[in-house]
Amino acid sequence: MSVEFNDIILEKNLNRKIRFSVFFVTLIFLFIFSRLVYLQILKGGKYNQLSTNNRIRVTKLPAPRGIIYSKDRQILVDNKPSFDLNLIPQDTADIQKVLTDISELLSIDRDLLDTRVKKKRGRPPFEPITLKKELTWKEMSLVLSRKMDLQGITIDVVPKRLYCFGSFAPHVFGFLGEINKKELRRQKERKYDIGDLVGKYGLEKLGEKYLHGQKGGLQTEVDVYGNRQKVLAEISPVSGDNVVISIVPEVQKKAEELLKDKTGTIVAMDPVSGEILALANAPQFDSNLFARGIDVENWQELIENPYHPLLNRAIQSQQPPGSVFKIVTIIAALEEKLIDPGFKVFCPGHYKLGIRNFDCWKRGGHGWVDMRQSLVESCDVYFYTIALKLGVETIYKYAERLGFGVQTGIELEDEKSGLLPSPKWKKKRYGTEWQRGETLNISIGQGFLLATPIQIALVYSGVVNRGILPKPRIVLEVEGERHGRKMYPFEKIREYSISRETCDFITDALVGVVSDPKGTGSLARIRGVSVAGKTGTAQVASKKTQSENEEDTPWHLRDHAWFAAYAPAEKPEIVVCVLIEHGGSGGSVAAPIAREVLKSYLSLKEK
Amino acid sequence: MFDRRLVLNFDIVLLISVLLVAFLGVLNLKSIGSSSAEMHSVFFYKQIYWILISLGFLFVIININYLSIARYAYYLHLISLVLLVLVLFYGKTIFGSQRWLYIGGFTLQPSELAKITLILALAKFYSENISPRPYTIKDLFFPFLILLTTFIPIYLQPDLGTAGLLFIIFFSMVLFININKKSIYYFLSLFVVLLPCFWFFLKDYQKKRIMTFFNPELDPLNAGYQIIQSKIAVGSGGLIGKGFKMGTQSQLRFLPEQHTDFVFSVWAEEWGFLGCIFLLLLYFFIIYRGLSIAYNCRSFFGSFVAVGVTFLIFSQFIINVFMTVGLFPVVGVPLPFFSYGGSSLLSCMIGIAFLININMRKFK
Repeated sequence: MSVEFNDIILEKNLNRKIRFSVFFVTLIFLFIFSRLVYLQILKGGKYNQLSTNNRIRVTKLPAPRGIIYSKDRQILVDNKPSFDLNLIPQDTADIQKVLTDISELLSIDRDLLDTRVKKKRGRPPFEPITLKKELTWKEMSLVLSRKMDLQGITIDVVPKRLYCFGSFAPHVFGFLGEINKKELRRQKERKYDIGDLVGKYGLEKLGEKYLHGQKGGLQTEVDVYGNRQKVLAEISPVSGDNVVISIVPEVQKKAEELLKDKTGTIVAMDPVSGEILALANAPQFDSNLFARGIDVENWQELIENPYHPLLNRAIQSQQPPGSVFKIVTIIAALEEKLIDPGFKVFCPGHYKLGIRNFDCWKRGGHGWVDMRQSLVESCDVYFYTIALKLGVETIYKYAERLGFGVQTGIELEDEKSGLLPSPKWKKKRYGTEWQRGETLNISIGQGFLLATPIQIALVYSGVVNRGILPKPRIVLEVEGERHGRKMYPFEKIREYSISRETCDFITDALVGVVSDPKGTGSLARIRGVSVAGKTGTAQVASKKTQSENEEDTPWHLRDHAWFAAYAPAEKPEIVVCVLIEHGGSGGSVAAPIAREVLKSYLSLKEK
Repeated sequence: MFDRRLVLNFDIVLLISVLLVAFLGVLNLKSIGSSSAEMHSVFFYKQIYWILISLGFLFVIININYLSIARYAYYLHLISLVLLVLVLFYGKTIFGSQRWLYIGGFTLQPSELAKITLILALAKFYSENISPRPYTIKDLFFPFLILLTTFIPIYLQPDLGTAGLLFIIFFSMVLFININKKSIYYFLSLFVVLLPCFWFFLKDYQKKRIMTFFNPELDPLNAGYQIIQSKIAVGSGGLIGKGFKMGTQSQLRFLPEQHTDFVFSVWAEEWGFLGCIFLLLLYFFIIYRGLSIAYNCRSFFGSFVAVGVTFLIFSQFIINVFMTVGLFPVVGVPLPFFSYGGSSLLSCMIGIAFLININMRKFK
């Protein structure tokens, strides 16, 4: 009884509240009612006028991308104004007539204009349609002189990317391209619109977050013809952040010149700081082709070129390192104290293992060689002999320690890791046991072993640095309004232990390679500077397929020419690795190139 | 076996008003679709299809006594919660937020479903814990927990519009239970204190939208522009409007998100003040019917559900209309029954189904 009584009280209470909420709801409806009276009845005339020509418009103002500087503040990548011919459909009474006029005036194919207009069908009529990008001065004056007749036509300034030195370090800078649907959808905030250019490769892509600016815009009131009457609000665009990179333009230019008409790559880095001083590839391309979106023909040409200009050989070309690898075998021998530097081997020009013959590159043989000479003259037989004493596991251990078989971690994308084979790897990959002959091959940098030029440069830097591997880096600093200032300082990949004696021995021997009368790298000699270097001539096919005369060998079967060097030997400031694919012998082809690169950097330093 | 009273108390007028709003909404979509963009004409047909589907749901629901549904209220809400968690892991991402779940060709937005099941679960709790002693803050711990467990996954999607609506539903239902005055004051002051804290949970662009509302000059290119264009559209409609398919603001696509957020602007531009008043009267009637069903219902559960559903529809209505006439920041809340969108239509229609259901069985 009492429960029901309570229920009645509670129900009364609830119903009182419901009655009140009817009152509350009515009030709100009355409020909306009065708002509508205000907007539609009292202010209706004013709003109607505003809507007739849709007088209020928004135009986006593009923001310039960040500038890329070298360390000494030379501008490497900039923006320059370019002029686009746009049509605002809403502002013209007769689109067809305007298109015909434009097509005659600038002699553009009429169908092309039609397809550009059609592509934008369904877009709001106040949105400009670009009829022609990058007008010339002549075209611009033609259009401006007829501006009165060309209803709805505007010329707008758009910042265009400019790679100041033309075709210069394209694999570092990369290129731009139109944003695709996936990228548009993925953005969390609306920063990009259809048709915007974004970095697609290289630093332009990696630094997109910093380099791209923040668009601004204008809210304007226009008259019936679309002419701007009043700017109601303006948001200025903010340019992207500037980036300072380590590439030294003089050295880079020199390196690119040296590679002309060749297929290959040059990497130069500061062995202490890890800064990349030059990274050149040949053949290369011109980033400017992409500055406002590349056209089909140019793209087709790039991807169909048999020498793959888009390939960043410095970090993607995986090749047998040949004799530049030999320092690894020596370091393993010295560090494990298995071989004494005084140990001598007689080289008759070949080495017999079972029934197989392993040739030295010098047919006649080197005679008696000690450890230093084995590097200076690059005697293969010496390495065959000590390889079996070391065993493959020891060589593997040191190669891994020095930096083979893993990516260096440079900022650029798609770096390859090379290949450092081991018995375990071979078993897994081929299902067969490791052969003793393969240990011989690996000791001279042949066989399954593959390395990238950047790896070689890093390995040599590590030896120079007594075991400290610096992370190769290109971006040194980002600075701008949007993200403030950010430094990218030296980073250590890792450190391994190596004795001073071993390092000194290697440097002494490598100086010998260049300066000894019998040294294989004598073409790298620079007057007044002690250069340390190691040649490498990597076989890509067995000797039998090559003819006696190099000229007769098909290009793709010729040897790769390597040269890895550093200078000055007492206190190295630069490490260079040169790879000329199918270029011939390292000593005659790669060494003189390395010399020129070293010279250009050292002479710059002197100044 | 068949009770005549069920047929007698079937609130056909409410259903007709709702269908009328939906019909006008479809008409409006047709007008939007007539502007050249092909993608918009699809909305018209899809919406008709969704109206039919949600009507199907409506007829199924009214045939089950709502009091038997009450028994499963918690389980139903649990299903919603599971779906909400699933959507976080397997959801389809559209414009940066994961709200949709793919089930056999359909995309389902579990957050819409959760609104209804939350109302059911809260109504069940309040109706089962009736005592003459008024509720205090402490007694609200469990319902608040239900709210939070629903709120968090929706907030994470992120779908702040719906997450906010859940709070509104919760607070409006609290106002109808027997709660002591002191607790209400506590609650209100807590709310006032918490409101600024919410600010820190907002994303940058959301903060910007709210700031833009108070000062349209802050973002004249996006949200500020939308508010202006919407106001121009509504205002330029005048007394009798520009006529069907004649709205320049909408046809020329100056209005953003015409088919969802700014449907009312399109309607106001083309049908003018008179058209707006007609639409407002329909909504007023729907809300009024909802409240009177709550009033006439003899079970607490029924009353609470009716109140919850009514305020769910009412709050969405206010937010959307206020937004289009420049009285509320631009947040993506659809206009019930009128905006394009299957899940929203479905959840509102299920709400109406409960209202009709409760009214049919009010004397039991």
